[in-house]
Amino acid sequence: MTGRSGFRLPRYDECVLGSGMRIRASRWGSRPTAAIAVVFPRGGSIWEPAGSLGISEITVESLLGGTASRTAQELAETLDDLAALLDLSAGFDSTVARFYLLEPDLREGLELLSELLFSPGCPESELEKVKSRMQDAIESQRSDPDFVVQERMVAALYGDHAYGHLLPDPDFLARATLDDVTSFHRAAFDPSEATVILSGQIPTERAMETLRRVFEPLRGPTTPSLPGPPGAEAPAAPLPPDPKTSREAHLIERPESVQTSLALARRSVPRKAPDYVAAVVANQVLGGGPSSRLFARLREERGLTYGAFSTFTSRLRASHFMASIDCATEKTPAALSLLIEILEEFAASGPTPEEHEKARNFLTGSFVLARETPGGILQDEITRFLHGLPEDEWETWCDRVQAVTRDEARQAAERHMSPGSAVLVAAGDRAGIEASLREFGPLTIWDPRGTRLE
Amino acid sequence: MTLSNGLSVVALPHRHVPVVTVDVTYDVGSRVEAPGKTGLAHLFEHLMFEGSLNVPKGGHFDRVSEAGGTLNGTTSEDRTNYYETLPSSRLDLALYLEADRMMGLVLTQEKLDNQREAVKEEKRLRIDNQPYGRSYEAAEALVYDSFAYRHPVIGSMEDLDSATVADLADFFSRFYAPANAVLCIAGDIEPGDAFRAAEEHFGPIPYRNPAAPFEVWEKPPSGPRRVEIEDPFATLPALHLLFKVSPRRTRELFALLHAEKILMGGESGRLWRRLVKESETALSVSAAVDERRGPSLFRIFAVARSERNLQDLESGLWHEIEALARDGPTEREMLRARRLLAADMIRGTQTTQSLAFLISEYALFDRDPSLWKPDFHTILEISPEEVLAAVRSLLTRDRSACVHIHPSDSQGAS
Repeated sequence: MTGRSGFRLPRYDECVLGSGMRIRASRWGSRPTAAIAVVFPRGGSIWEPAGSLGISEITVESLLGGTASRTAQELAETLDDLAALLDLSAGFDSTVARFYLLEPDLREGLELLSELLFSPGCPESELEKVKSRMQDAIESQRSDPDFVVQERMVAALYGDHAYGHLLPDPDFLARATLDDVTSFHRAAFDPSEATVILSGQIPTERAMETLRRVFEPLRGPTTPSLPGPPGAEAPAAPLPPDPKTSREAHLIERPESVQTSLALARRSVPRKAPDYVAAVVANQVLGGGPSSRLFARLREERGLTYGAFSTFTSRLRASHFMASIDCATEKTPAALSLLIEILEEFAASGPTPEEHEKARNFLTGSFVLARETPGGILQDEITRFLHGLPEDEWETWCDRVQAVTRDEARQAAERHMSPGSAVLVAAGDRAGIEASLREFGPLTIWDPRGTRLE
Repeated sequence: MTLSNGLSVVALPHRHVPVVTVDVTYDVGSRVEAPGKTGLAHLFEHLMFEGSLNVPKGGHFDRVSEAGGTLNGTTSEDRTNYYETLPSSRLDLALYLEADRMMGLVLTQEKLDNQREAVKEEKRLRIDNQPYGRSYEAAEALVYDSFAYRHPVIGSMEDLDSATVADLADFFSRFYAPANAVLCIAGDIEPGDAFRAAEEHFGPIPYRNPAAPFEVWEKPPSGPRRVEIEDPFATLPALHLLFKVSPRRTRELFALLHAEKILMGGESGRLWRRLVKESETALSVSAAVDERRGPSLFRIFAVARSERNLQDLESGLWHEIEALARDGPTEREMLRARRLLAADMIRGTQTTQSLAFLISEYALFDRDPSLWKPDFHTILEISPEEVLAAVRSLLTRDRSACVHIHPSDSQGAS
């Protein structure tokens, strides 16, 4: 229970199946729907063998290429017959399959999901199509200014570590074989390590019984998987030193741009750090919404940008803070200068008493808003599971937010949000923005495809 | 319920969680804009957050955020809405804020200049600096004849630059009367309490004459239209194929909702199967029915795998549309389309905000907020014969507009 507005979070039932797979279910929602997540803790890119950057994403994409008993077309038709929505995403730490069903189709849908995830049958011909489409999709993604900024930013923050790559290695993508996919799948999609979470407008007992019937027959892989138990260090390159000790700037030359997409980022507070909640409160003040400082000063006072926000991104082994804006080429010097000024001021003095109060009230009051649907409730549980957070993480969240003092928020801002040793990445018209980026720190210039120009 | 000043009020209990959405939808969209004044409806929407009679600039954002709520506004061709979603214990705050800005705004040159710049940045962000961004504007300008629908909601830079405080004041007096709006309160409420609170906050607003009724007039179909454009940011060629079709809430448009699912309801849809998977001419295909009060649009957007595929891609789209027009849907396709549409309806009414948006439009456009339920049933009752007839009569070359987008190679070839 959150203790606010009479809102109560749902309780989960849990059991462990013979394979070691954990299943959890809670009753939630106002409509006859269910949201299901299957979490594979070793499905992320940090678990990719050396020299096979992108195999997690290729494997996930190949799952729709067919199963042991269905062709790709039969699979697509059955999914659409059920009006099911499937979101397969290969992340950095793990892979999560999110699946949305109507309540009457629960059993049939879960059986299809189990078949798709655990009995893959993508033929060579389908895999070649998947790879070819991924190559063209990469080309298309790089036309998006925000994407190329994000790609360069993670590269600057995390170097050669898996966290530093948003896309597969093109050479590996070209040569990846069905054997590569099969062996990664065997290691990463191990039922004994998977957790299935269900949230939906279904009595919990019936949901648990259905999950049990569908997933109980599964067993772990018959051949050895990747070395190391869950939670062990993944076979990925070591993280670059943290924190960086100086500023650096990157410009992605994007001819004919009329606007600069700009992000300022730094390595930051780990999700399980004692001051994480204080950092969340501080971030709400700085860039958490339309009443934040960045929005108020950059947009509402100066009209320099449409949006101005800041966020923390938490991964298992490292995290980062980012503030971002998009502004017309000619406004870039003024917007960048003001952005840095606001960040420096905030790191030095933290929130005002009024800002501190408002931010805590927003975070606790809006807690219920994000939890109207089964999908919202499911996301809490995925986050809790992936980061190994305590069972009562969300029950105690609002109280912990309210308990953050102004001084704790100020310290968190100083420690985790200062632009002192940050990375600045901008995509736009080189002639219009190069000089102001050089003022920030040593500048490297790239093209949108990641080729270093200078 | 209708207040004495003409404001329609709808209250819908939805008590799953202690949340409420307050939505005020005004009967004004970009369709009412005259040449030289484009973007005014959307620019005005921004000014509605810049302070009202008793709330200072920034106050709407601050007070809703402090209450744990979110707020925003949206402008379409057909209407403009403003909404707050917040803990239901703070319903009064949302009603107070909406009533205060319906009563009057404090418009100044400084606020206009500030939000004009914010909107110009929004236009750059969403359109001018994005791959394919301007092609959407080109497509609508090609398919429609009426100025009302052929100009973009966000307007042109020139028209935004020329907007004055007097324009905005005139806009408020013409379109922001209580009788030109609907207030919808959806969520954890008792309708009686909600109506009383609405009366308390909105009742004192004086009656003002509502705007004159507005109709979008379109010429009859006059043959296929086509344009080729270059895009400085696109890395792959693409095309829009648009059809000018029937207005919202017509049976033939409901039939096209089924056709959209049959053609592109998922990866089993005919277009994805043939063009993305089998012929591999497309990287992606999407389709949508853009329902409007005047003539609606049936939209297809497809990204080609290469320049040499673009013509094949267009031919492939026509092949599938004409096959559907010739043979009609299969029984399994109809079953699947009904399931997909039913699922959309169920998922689209899960939250207080989605319910409020849905019901507000029925209340404003049709003067009957309850019509959404019978409409859902009518949509599911559409027969295969109706789908066939709608595709034959509406997805025709005569009604089509096609935009080919060619990368201009500004970013350098790979």
